[in-house]
Amino acid sequence: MSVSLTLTYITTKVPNFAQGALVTAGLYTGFALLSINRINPYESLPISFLVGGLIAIGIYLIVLRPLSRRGASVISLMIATLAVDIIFVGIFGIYSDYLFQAKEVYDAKLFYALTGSDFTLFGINGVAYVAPAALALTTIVLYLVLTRTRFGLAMRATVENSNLAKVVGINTEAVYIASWFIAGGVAAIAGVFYSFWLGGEPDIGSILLISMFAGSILGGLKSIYGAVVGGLVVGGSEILITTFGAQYVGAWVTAYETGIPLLVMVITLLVLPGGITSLDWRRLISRWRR
Amino acid sequence: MTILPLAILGITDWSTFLSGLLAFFALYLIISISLNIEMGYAGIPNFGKVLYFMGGAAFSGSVAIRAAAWMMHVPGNVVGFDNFLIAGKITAMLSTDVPASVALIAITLAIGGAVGGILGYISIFPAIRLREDYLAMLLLGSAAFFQIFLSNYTPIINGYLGIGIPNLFAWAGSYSTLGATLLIAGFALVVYVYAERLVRSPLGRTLRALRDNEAAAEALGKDTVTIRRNVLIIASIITGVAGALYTIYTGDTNAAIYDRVTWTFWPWLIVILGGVASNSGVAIGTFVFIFLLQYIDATKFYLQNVLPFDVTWLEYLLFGSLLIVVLLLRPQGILPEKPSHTLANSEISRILEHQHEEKKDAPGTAPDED
Repeated sequence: MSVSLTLTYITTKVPNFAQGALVTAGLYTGFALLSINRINPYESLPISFLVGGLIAIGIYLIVLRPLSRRGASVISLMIATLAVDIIFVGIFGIYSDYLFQAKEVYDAKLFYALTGSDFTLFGINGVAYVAPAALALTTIVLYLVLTRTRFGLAMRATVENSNLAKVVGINTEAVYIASWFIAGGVAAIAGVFYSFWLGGEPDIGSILLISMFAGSILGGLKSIYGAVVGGLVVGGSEILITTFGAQYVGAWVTAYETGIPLLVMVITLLVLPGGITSLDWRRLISRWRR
Repeated sequence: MTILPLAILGITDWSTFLSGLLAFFALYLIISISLNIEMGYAGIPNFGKVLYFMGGAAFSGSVAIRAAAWMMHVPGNVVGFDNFLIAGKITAMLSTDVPASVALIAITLAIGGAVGGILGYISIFPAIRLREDYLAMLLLGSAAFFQIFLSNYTPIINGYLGIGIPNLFAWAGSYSTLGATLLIAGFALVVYVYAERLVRSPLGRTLRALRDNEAAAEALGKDTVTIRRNVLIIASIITGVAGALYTIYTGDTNAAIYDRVTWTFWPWLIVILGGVASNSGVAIGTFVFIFLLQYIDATKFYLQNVLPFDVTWLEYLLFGSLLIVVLLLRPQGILPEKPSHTLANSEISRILEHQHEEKKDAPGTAPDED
């Protein structure tokens, strides 16, 4: 999820508050196909990817591109993405009501982890293998695309300096649309994995948004690899701290799980505003050796 | 719009509708004006508006019932199971005790303002350091976490179950809602006048300079950090008091009502709809928005029978799209920012008249006719 947020951030230079909506879109696509058409969410992953990607392109083309062409400020763009998020909360609300009443899916408003349609391997749910594998695959594919293909080169050039990229003949619009499509798809797939693990509800995106922001900020907001590390640290610390906290402090700790990404965000912003990718590791190591 | 008989507009109880309209108009005017001071004049994108409102509303409600129980010597667990019993008992006692009611109203408002101010003071540390996008993310996150804190830490307002607070206008009898409404309206007027004066003061000019060109303002010797800090604290106090007013008005509070759509996004929509950095625009924006919202609320049961989903979601769609449409077609809002006059018009004309008279009195000069 943080990876996708960073992708949209580097292309439009605006934190996308509607990113949670993309995750929810994937989550509900998987859920609806499972409950109505009985398709396993793993099999419908491509459809979820497509839905998330198309929504992301829609957001970019209908809202963000016209606004930034009008020279809207960062604040205007941010509030526009927040408006998009609220529109989607409405859409998912309507959709889950519709599933509930017309299609008689009685857990549409709040469903629990879809472990029933997951497979198990060595006694652990399949999503525990698939999600990290998908993350690794996404990272490797993105790495290869960015460094080994003409498109990746065009994309990096556009991010570095979009005017210069236009001058040398790169179709920056196509680059933007493609990166929003990938970002939306990745977010949607993350949503499907999330539903295997913890279930979902129409407003789930707004809760997840904090974790995504924390992951991206920790990763430095400008680097995809930083976001991978940031997302892993945030997600890992959330689970580790709440598990250990519940064991040694008391069960009430789990309720404050959302506080952990917030804490990560605050600490990162106050101590290391550039994120981990801004660190000069070589200097740090040599200083530590001395 | 054609003029239709009132009953055909779909509202049967117009007095309730209008009093609710006034209360929410005044309440949102307070919040939107404070957001306008922060965002429009000082350039702080406060995406965590609900945080200050929630703090003011929850803590003032919590303190109000405790203080009332203490003053009236009512024993028991005031925020626990028998809360509504206790609140009812105190309401009955307060209905004959005007001084105690007034004292409690004052305490509630003071606590609301204090909590808002404290939260504002805490948010200064990131606000003066961070760029606007980082700050927006941080404030949005903090507000979400604070709501989770309130819903899980039950001693304050008993989480999602909520607490009832005594009716502090019980002495007004059947006019108690009207009393609370007028209190909100009075405070809204004070805030509006204050904001208008602030904009025309030297501080207002400094704020605009700071927003438009921070480097230049600093070069002219303006202490940007202190100014931003003061603005954020003032706006937070105002929002906190608004929260306390809302708690007094509704008579109960719970952690579920403080969502970012209602208390962060709607004020943003109002400010952008009305006109950023334009107080009169914000007032018009508030009226338009609140009228639509209240009208939909009062008539939505007609639609509810037809549609297979909750009509509230349509509000989200409608107002979310409205914001984007306004940003695309009229980003300056209904009444855009105008160059502000440092002196009021009447003041300027008074001075001119004064000069005129002086000229008339002076010998040898004819009064100029133009």
